[in-house]
Amino acid sequence: MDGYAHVLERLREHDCRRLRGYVPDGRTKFTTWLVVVARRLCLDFHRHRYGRSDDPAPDAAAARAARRRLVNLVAGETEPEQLAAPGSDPASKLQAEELHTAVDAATAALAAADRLLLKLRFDDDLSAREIAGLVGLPTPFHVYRRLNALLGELRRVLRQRGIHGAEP
Amino acid sequence: MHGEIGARHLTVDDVAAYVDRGLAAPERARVEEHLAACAACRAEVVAVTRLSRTLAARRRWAVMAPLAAAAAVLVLLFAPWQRPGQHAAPVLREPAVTATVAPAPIMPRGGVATLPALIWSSVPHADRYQVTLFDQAGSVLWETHTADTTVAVPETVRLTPGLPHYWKVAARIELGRWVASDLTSFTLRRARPRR
Repeated sequence: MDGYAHVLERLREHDCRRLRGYVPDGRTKFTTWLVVVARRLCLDFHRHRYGRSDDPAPDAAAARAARRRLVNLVAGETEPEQLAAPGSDPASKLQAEELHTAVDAATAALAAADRLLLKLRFDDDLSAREIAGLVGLPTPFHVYRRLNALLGELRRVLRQRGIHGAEP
Repeated sequence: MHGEIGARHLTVDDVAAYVDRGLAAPERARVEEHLAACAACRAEVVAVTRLSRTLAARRRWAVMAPLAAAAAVLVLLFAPWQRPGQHAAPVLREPAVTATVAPAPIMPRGGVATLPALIWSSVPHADRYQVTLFDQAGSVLWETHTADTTVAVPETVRLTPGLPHYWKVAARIELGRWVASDLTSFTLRRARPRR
């Protein structure tokens, strides 16, 4: 209830300055816009009251786990054994590190929309259905199809790099 | 934040317009570029999408529920099978009247010591009852009408103890329509005491 009062208070202050910031230019509905504003105000309130306990550590751990999932998926057929026991000996650790770097580089070369798709799927762990609604694909199947195509593309790039990486 | 170089977080307008798909292609690409790199903004977009979808679902309900209620009220008020101004109850009760039950003699029956009154079950919508008392030969000893479901036998009626007597009761449901009970026999065990 305090949070609710806080949101109302903030919306009302300075002669409803925030609310008057909405520009009805057809890009967004007022309700959606208000949801964003109210949610930000709620987060402000929460931080103000409970401190900025935004968890960088779990976030980083989750990101690492997601990256590992992605690497497993993409590189599973290329070098399966080296991920089985990461860090067990320096050589495989180095190899794993190299692979991660390679995946990151390959991912970075993708279009922003594709990178976003991978992030939503592997970092945020969203369902295909939700991703479809979010990025504007008609059905979850379109998400799966796009993701499969992306993973295939990444595998192809990695295989190329794997060949190049073995050379020196 | 999260490694992007010099990138500020998305504005309220960016987030709302992305969720509502109101961005032009270059704008959208810029937002997607940021979203791919920034977990915080991605989380915001996901949360706002979920919230606004819940709101939309609720709004659908909020619109549909009064409509459904109004439709139900209209159906009840102007139902084709129920003309306004005409009470439905008699129409429904009519079959019950035709199939009405006859009055059932309750007392006396079988051997009785005294005869204080005749009692029978009531019949729905009956406005009048006719009670007839017979002797063992079938002659009418006494007959009366009443609106009640009980009547006292006057002392002028002489009943013979030890011999069977019969009585029946008929109920008038409407003018000229009577429903009669079966004949019921009773026997006074001994002389009727004086009252």
